Amino acid sequence: MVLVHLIPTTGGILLSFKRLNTFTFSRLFDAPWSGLENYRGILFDTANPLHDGFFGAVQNTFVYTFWTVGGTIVGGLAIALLLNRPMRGQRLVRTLMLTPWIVPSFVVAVLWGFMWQSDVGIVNKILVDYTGLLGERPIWLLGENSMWAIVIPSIWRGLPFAMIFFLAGLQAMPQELHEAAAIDGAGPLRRFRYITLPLLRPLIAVQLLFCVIYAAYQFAIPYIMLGSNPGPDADLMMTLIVRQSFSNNLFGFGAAASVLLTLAMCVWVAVWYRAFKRDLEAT
Amino acid sequence: MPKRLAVAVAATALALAACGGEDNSSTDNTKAAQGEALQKGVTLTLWTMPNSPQPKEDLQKMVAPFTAKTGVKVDVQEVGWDVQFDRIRNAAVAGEGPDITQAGTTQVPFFAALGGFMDLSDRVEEIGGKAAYAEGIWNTTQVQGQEGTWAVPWFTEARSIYYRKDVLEKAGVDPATAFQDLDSFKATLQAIKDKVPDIEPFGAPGKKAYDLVHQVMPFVWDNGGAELSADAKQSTINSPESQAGVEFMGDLITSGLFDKSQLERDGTQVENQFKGGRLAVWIGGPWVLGSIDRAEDDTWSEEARANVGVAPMPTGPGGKAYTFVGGSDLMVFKNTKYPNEAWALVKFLSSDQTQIDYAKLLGMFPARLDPQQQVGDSSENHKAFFQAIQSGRTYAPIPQWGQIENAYKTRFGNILDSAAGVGTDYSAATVKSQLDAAAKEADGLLAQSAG
Amino acid sequence: MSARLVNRGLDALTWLVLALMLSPILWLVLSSLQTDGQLSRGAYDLLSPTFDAFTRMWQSVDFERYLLNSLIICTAAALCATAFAACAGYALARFQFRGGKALSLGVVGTQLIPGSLFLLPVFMGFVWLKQNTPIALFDTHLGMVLVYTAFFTPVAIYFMRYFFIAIPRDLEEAAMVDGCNRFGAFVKIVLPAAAPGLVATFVYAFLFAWDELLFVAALTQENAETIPIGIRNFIGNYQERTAQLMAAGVVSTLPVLIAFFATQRWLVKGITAGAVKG
Repeated sequence: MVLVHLIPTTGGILLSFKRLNTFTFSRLFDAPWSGLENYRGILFDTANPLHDGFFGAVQNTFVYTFWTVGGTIVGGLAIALLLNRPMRGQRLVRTLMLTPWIVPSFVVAVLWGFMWQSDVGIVNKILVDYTGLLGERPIWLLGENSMWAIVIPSIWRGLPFAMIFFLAGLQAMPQELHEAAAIDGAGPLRRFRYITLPLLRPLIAVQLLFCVIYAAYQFAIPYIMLGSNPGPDADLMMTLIVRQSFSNNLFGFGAAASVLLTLAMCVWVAVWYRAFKRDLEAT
Repeated sequence: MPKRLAVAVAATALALAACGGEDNSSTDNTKAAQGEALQKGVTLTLWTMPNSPQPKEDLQKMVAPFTAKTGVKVDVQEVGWDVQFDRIRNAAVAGEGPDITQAGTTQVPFFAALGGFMDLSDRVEEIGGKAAYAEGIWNTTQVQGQEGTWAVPWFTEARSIYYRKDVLEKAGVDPATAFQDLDSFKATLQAIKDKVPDIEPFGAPGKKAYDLVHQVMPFVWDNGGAELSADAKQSTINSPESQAGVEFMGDLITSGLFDKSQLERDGTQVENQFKGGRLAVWIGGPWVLGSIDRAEDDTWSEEARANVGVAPMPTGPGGKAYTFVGGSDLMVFKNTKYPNEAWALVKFLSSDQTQIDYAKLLGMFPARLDPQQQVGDSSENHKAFFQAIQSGRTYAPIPQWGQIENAYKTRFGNILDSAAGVGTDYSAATVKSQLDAAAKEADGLLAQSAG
Repeated sequence: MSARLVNRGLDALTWLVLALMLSPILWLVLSSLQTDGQLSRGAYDLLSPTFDAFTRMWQSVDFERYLLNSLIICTAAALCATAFAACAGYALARFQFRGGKALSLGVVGTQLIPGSLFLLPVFMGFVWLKQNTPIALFDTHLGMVLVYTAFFTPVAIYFMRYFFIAIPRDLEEAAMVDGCNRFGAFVKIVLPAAAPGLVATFVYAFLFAWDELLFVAALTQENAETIPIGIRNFIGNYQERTAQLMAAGVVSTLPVLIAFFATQRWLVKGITAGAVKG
């Protein structure tokens, strides 16, 4: 861990203060110091190649994370509630429901990129040709739609894990509470609101923490589906950083942007901790 | 048919002659030039990208005669196009890598600037040096403003117009004049749109394609624009001429002549749409010609397969037709333990017969002039490509080009997207602001220095 | 009466959701059974599937090598991570440490560092080791195993600690009274009891390692490349083998799918236990 996490991270932070570009790359750690230049460039210098894309990527990452995490948690909870009912083939359904989680991200991206194609893809065939739900064929992989093109597969892949996690919580829940409430005349919605949800809070908190981190660092799905530059509407922080570092050799800038991203996530953890502190101590 | 036969016979004769010549002199030549014999039994590692249907096996077979003759073994490794840039850069910086690698022509200056590659200046005379290659292709082995030859051209491609003969006939357009200049190019697409409703007139890939810039630049060049100033110190992508070129492409989209759903695809996927009969006109490289006769390539629809025509790129207002010429070079790593053997392999891959055989397998053109001419003479369609290569243009060989190309690619992508109605509203002002941003970014990259 | 109807409806809804969730996977399999031409035209012929792509993919790309590398690296890394986590997690669960909170913070901390920040230094470190010492990590299985083990060990420790806490101390103490030492009790009593947790941890680490593409792209060259690199060889600049790409997608999903179904009973139990303990 020291070898892979600690020392290299320190190295990465050091690099963020270096002028590391096409010409100095071969000198690596001997590249000239540039102080806070990389950070200034990203945040304030409009002529900097990273500046322009940076705020767009920040915004996109917010949007992506919001919808992906929201979809994963709400969807996961909804399906968990569905599966918590006794029914025939329950075990089979529960197991099969987990399979999307097993499909590797790079396969998910290739597959969905293929399904989204506007003229021959199956999604538009269903939405336009077979059911007529939409009059015109949307182009999913361009413009604003491309955000949905990466959010939906991300939810699809992430949801099963949240589902099984919540399902476990639901099953461990004491039945007496529900029964007592039902006798008192509380309907299913009220029981969900006042019994299920509060008891699930710690689980939601854990899911929220890791889902947000995972979504904010998403790379494989946009990169494989939309290419190294997913465009102004779907360029996430990680695709931006990896592109600028590894295709454009702006390693110093890339490292600085990574540090900023890390700081942002630290803020998120702090906020999260404040919000859910009580729930964590309860368990 | 007889004509083709005659060409084939002539080619074989020439090839035999070349082979014979090589055999006679090879021992003297190599010994004289290198002062020592090749070590038998050593293994060279060669990185190649997916160029042909079975990249590794195909190339391994291609170098088998070399191993038979010299006793030097070759280990061919396949590196995907997606990762090759990272891999080669890392290998050059770390000094850990193969002996020889394939590199895209526009990447050579960057790799050379890293300092991990051998300067081949003293050796290239053995394979004819500069005189054996078309000028544009030879330039890809150099770094502007620096001494040294960092690569040897391997195979070449240039872009020409592919069209459907049957569609043009239905539209009542004469193929001979259909793509003469930019105006007739547009008029032809309009005629197809009006008279042949079941096919899209034209399509090109968008920002996902590695070669978006190669797709757009010919129109910029046609209009008198350029990517950089002649001294490669400043970007000129936002000049009025360049803007006119980019707008030409954008306007094709807004006027409905360019199937905008192609913009979500990469180059090969759009190619498959032309082959599948969805597009009437498409701009592409020579490898598609080679796939027509391959029965197992079922991406071709029968109508498309039977009706392929190739025309040179249109001329612009300046009266000259431009096209992008590219392909791949071979570079030798400085850290190779076997420089003489590595060079011998490069030399073998540069011999006329190997050039023809491998190019044929790939559907590309040989990089060297003589074999290039032979392939060009083999059919009417190939001739169009041969001419395209001779007049083809490429970018300034400077280390920062790759980054600048990425910056342009982003902006071109944004412009085409907005023309397709999925970005900011399309207007001359939008194009201008995107190109200004591209130029500013490029100037910033040009100003990078080692200090 | 209406309650029964609602129940029926919810049953149907459950099956519908399941069908929706599975349909993309079905589409992947169906696509892999078509030809390139059918795929690029969107003209599927579902009635005459062909296994052509599955036979040809091994020739056009040396996919066996990638698959084998993935299997070796991911199995080894998941095993190591699970083993470390079992020991460390047990120690943390049984012996009172001050740093319980610090541990949680450390675990979250390692997850907070984006790979892009330390990838380049790791690369340089590996290359330096290769050139200056006999330690071969760059482009070796060992190097990738090390990296992935380090990635997943922190989370795994966090996981395992909860499983061990859940195992009653009495069990071990009884064993120790019967003449086992602490290690013996750990191996004979505690580990079997924590088996679902071990399996869950293993599978979880394996899945993540199987999925990783950023580090393996930089840290390997030709000896230790894994599937995420290999699969992209089907996408070329001059041609695309779509059907083979889909087939390769199926082939890369299959091993994890088998591993999943083989262990799912324990896996679900493991995740469940983890969830309930929070």
